[in-house]
Amino acid sequence: MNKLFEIKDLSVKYSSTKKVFGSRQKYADAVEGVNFDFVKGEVLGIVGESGSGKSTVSRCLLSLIKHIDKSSIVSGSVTYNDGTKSLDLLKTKGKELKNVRKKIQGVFQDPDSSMNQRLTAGKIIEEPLLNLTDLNKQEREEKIKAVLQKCGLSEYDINKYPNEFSAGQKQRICIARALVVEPEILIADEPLSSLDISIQAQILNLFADLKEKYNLSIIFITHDLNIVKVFCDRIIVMQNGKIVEQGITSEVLANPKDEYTKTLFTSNITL
Amino acid sequence: MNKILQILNLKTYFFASDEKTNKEIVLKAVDDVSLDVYEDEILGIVGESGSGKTVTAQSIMQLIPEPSGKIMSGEILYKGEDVLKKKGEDLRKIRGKEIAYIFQETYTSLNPVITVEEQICEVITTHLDKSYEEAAKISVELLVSMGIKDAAERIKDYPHQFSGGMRQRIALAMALAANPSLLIADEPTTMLDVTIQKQILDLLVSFKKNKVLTSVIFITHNLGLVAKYCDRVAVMYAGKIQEVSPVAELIKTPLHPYTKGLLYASAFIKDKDNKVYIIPGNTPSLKELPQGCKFCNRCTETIDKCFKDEPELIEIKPNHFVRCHLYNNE
Repeated sequence: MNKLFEIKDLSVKYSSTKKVFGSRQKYADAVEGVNFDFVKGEVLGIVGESGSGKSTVSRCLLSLIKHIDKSSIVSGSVTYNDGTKSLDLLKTKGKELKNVRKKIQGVFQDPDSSMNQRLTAGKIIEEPLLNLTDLNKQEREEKIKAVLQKCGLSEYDINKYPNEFSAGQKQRICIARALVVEPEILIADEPLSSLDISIQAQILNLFADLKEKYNLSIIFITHDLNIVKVFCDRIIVMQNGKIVEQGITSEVLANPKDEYTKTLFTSNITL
Repeated sequence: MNKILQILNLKTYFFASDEKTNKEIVLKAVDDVSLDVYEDEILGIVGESGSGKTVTAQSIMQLIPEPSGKIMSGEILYKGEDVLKKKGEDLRKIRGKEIAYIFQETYTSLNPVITVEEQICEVITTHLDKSYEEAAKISVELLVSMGIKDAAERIKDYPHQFSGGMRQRIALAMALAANPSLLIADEPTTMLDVTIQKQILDLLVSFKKNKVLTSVIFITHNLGLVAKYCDRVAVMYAGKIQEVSPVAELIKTPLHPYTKGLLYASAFIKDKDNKVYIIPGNTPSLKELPQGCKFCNRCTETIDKCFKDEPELIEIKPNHFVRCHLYNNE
């Protein structure tokens, strides 16, 4: 099996108070000693309540952690293997990091705050192409049109602004932006929780569809176990920054071992 | 069973001007809604966003922002009296004292600059004949019953010092402070984690069981919660009630195609192509609703009639009402 990610002893501390003059900096543990592997072609679900550290893990995988909080302390290793060589994402910088970004892309919870409201949809989707590739204008335009179509939008949407779209369509634009550089890994951080139920199902179908088309491996972060049940091959349960249980989805759901997993499952109300 | 609240032909409209033509357009957020709430029941109202469930609840409390919105006509009878006719001091005696309301976002429904104690005491001293000291004592008892640890000390804290689940408990304590009969809970747990959600709703049900509350209107878009906690449910779409039924029956035999769609979509049921079931199309804008049945452009079971005439809400089985031509065999 081809391991895309190998996460070893990952710990993240956020600075919890502002440092004033000589006062001592205090830290809060967001993630403590997390170990897991991520295999090519699978959909890995990470579940847990808010504050359990699941988003922090995703930020480490996207190499965004230092951009979000400069004073955070990150230790351990996140090894990314692109088939030819291995890289520790926590230490990768500059041009090498740019190459990695082409391979790993993210989709976030709130489509409104994750795109610039003053750019048109076309410009929003063009941005990763401008930053990460050296395609010319015509090639870029072709790519944008193709990805829009695959994400269930039309090429006439290129010149529209975000406020002209519905919430579901905005999330489709975010997905299109992530996929336009044809990454091999997609990290989706609660991509459905700001959407209506009927729209959630539509976007979930889109993810499944795009997984086939782009040959993606997906890390899907959510707190909705119903989604995990239908979409994820493997599941990681997190609590207070630690992994409390991981395994094949159907096995964990049928026979949860950890006490916290059990509470989480009984709190999840299904029809 | 006695009716505690009767909504009769309620119409709440909003007014906006069209950007291009500058003409005024009328958005029928709640369009001719009639609904009863019985004593000793939890009534669920479900629907997608924009279906009019919150506006219905806000109309009961007269919280519609004028002049952009207005209750055009209809009656809301609370214990036989029309609350829509009440103004000023009379209205204050209903709000909080008889009917209480808890909101989705506790960040905006609690005052960030005064302590929790003052906020709960304000409710008690306004509605009940109590001094501040007595009110403070009652507030602590309320918080204890909500399961807040060290309530006597924590009550002096400000809202931001509590977590989301705690704040929702405080909001619930405030709502129950003046012993209301009817509680309107407008998506009280949507922002919360599943484990906290269960705690809050179990608490709500225990208060109803212990007769602290007579009835609850529970607004949500989560049909799983409705199935677990409600006695009866009303499904809303585009400002109209599409189906009303006892919960067990609705889950077992949903009649309206929209209800079926909602049920399948929220259970993430997969079909033979391994696709999750979806309701086709998007949530409608109130500006461009179709003629005839409001759901006809997304419905998979349409007949010719659906595009011409709007169906009436009719009783198919005892207590099971549906607004759909498929069941209207005249």
